[in-house]
Amino acid sequence: MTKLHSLARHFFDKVILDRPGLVIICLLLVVAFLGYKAKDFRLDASAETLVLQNDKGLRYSRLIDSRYGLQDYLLMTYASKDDLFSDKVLANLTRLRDELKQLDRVSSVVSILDVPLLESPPGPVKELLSNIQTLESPTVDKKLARIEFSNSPLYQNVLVSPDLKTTALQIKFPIDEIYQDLLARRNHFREKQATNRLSAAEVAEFKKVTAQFQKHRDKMKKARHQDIAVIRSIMDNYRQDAELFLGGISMIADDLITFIKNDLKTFGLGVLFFLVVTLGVIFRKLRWIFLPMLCCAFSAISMMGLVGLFGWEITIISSNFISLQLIITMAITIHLIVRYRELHFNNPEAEQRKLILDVVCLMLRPCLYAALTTIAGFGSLLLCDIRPVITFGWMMSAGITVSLAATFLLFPTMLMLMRKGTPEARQNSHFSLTSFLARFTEAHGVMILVVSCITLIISVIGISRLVVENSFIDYFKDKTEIYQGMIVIDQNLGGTTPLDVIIELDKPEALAQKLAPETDAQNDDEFDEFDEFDEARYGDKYWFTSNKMAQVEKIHDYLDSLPETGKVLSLETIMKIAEKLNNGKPLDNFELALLYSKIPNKFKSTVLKPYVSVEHDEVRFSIRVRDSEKSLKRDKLLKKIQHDLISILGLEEEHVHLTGMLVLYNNMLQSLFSSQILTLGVVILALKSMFLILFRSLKIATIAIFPNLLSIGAVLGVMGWLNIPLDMMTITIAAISIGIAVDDTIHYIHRFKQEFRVDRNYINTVYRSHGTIGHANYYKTVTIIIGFSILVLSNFIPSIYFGLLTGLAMLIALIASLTLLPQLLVIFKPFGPEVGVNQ
Amino acid sequence: MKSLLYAVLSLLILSQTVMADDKSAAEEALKSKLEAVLLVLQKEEVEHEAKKKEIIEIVSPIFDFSLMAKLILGRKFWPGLVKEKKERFTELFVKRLKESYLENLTRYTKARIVYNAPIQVKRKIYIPTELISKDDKISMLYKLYKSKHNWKIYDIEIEGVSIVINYRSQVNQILSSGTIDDLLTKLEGPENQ
Repeated sequence: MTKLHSLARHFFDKVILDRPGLVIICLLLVVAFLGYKAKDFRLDASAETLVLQNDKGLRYSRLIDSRYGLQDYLLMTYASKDDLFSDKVLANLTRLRDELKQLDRVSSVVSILDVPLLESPPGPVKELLSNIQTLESPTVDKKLARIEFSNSPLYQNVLVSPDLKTTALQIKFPIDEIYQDLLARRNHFREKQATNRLSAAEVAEFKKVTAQFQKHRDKMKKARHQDIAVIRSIMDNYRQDAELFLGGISMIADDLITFIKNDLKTFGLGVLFFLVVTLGVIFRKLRWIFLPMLCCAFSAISMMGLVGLFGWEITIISSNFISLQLIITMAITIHLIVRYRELHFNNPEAEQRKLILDVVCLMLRPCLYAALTTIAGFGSLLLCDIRPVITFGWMMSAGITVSLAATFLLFPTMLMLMRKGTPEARQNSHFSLTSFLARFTEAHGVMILVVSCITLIISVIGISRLVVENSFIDYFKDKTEIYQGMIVIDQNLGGTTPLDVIIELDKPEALAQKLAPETDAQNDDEFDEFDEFDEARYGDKYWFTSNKMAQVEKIHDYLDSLPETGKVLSLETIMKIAEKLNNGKPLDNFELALLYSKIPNKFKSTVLKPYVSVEHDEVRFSIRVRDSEKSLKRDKLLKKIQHDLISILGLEEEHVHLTGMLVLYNNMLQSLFSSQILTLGVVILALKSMFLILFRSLKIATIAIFPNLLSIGAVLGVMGWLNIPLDMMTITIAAISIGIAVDDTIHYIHRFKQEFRVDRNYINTVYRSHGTIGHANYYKTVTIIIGFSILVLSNFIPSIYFGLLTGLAMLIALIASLTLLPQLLVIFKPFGPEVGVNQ
Repeated sequence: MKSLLYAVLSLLILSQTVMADDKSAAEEALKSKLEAVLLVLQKEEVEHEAKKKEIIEIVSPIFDFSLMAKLILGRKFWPGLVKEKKERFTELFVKRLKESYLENLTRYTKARIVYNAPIQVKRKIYIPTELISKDDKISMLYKLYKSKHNWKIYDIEIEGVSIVINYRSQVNQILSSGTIDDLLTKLEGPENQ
């Protein structure tokens, strides 16, 4: 008996089983406290939670947002049954816009009603600018306006669809300065903490700022959620006249959370019901339903409390953690139940206390091994630099520990309070799946190896077909409103996902300094006399030169020519209109300066400011990418743009910057891919090392790896063959598969090792192991597969994938642990030679 | 003490008078030339090219084209050039400036000019004017400084856009990717090159 074993036995015997009531009260107190802390449990899908921990891209994107005055916005599409420019529709739109404008947190609403009409009527630039019309101007010519909207590069695919049937209202929200300030302060401390030690005062301040930041963000998230709800209720009043949809990145983030929460609520109950039914069918006893469910509830509540306590944020990556917690707890509990029933059946006279003590002591080691190995598997997540993934790693490690502790404390103490009851025999043991698989393994050992090899090869080919794509539109079923809205925006209004290309234009100063030594210039008094021409003094208008505009045009046309890009807006958009007004001739420097100085300020902020930063010699190309485009390969597209701008358009590498949501999500996904999939080899090695430590045999460690490989390989292979992309939600399936497969393998090998001692006969041991631990694994698998199968009814595609792929991982892990694993054990005989055959 | 006060007061009055004199002198200098130009423009019997020649003769004394060329290159580029290049640039740019000025001005055969009150900015005088033709009104701000002998124009702002800075931005864009020789070659070519 090892030291650990005797220590555990002593602990359970003298501490836990001696005072079960007290232990339960303590557990209840802990759970009550953690349950209270669970109020801080939060689910977040905002950009902040979905980007790399040290992502320079996020900081740059924020900088660009503030430099170009970019505000968060929602897009409302309005497809009228009547003519869009009829008085009735325009009156409806006016009413709708005014209602939206009146919302407290809406800073402005941009619609076809209030944008400047630049070609209605067309005329000289100077004249036009002195009297800019809008659709609301009393003297506007609506016929001309209709023509302008149908052709205008500035408005078509932005505010109106090319067929003029759908229009969009851009609902803008003010820049949240408190958020920006708190964020900057928090990041300052985070960075300082990473490089230096913080002083005690700084630690306190950091804590305070972090708390304030989270509080403010929660408040704003709630506010945005309310705004979206109010906007949707306003939309309802217009649905009799038009088809309305709401879109925009912040709505997608909000809806993602809503979908995940709804799934948790609706399917949480469904999963619970299915688990109860399956446990009932398998064990046919109330206590074997009640105890697993109680353990699951305790560990889930405790974990939610810990999440709240540590301030971990649940993102869409970690949104599956409750399900995983249930799976892990259920697995441990079923192992305990099956072992208890087995001991009870074999020793009907034994005392309840002794039975319980034997169960916990016998199962502690394999359960601990499985938990430690799974922690090692999830520990790989800590190595990557994506905050939500690291958090997910910590959460899973903590979750497994919580499950183990809660189950090993609750199960024995609760059972102590129950009567022993009559021993339960397993039914139909000869015809059960496990005994069938035992016979099958004995009879078709070679076939198992061949089939496993073929499966592995097919899986590897499947894995090679895996694509890494994050398409939000594919998260939702096509009948959902969010999907339909995204399709409308994608196909009629220029695309969904924002991508910004920022180009720094050449600075003439650099060359000038090469030409002219400073001293000469300083000595020339004449320049001092005419210091009004010093560059710092003259205005922005002279920044606009025909050379720059030609460069902007080239870049704009290139970006527009890409099939994946929807609407591209830049300085070139307004230049195209100006050129048209200038009788088709490009504007020269003088005309450009004139145009700039004559545009009224209120229009400058909409037509110029978002696309140019004179101060930084920089232009911005605002692109919306069509998310529904099936051929869209996001990472490839970004690389292509970067490459082409440098090598084809001849821009300097350091002058080209890609940013925006598409880039941020892509960075995150690529990093996730490299940390999850490319390091699978490292994870496998880590598992092997764990097996080596646990079983102290290289042979066993090597054998144990194969069922795990098969399980992960099959799941990823199926995803590859079925063209299921690895996205932010499905990518964690690999880690989950490892967790599931490891449990089956460790329990089986551990039991095999024990059973082998009985007669030192491998085939006999296979039968005995299948008949004991095989059953536990089988029950566990069936319970979880059935329990989670209900997720296929979700409207949220990642939930469906989660349900199906988890089930698949469990099934493959079960089959592999009951066929391939015993076959490998029989062939390689890692526990030493046999002593005769007497089956 | 009283005498000191008188002295200060008389100095102030004197300086005001000097300023007023400067303004009217500058305005007078400009007005005489521009009115003469308008008269030439109205001569229907004179050939276009002859008109141009006549106008150049009128305005040349009041324009400091060399200074304008120097200001266009600015303190960043000008001091770095060797003497010959400076001269060549000035020569080419003066030609270009004159052509451009004439090209734009000769469109207005039946125009009149309204002079607004001159503004003193340091030692320079800005004279806002409006060139009014049948269907257009263009604001033009003449900027003059006092050279050794008389008042001279060193920049004109048309509708708020300075021609010196405007040309400078063109020069900058050529020099941002090319050399001074490239700039000179471009200036030797036709205007819209």
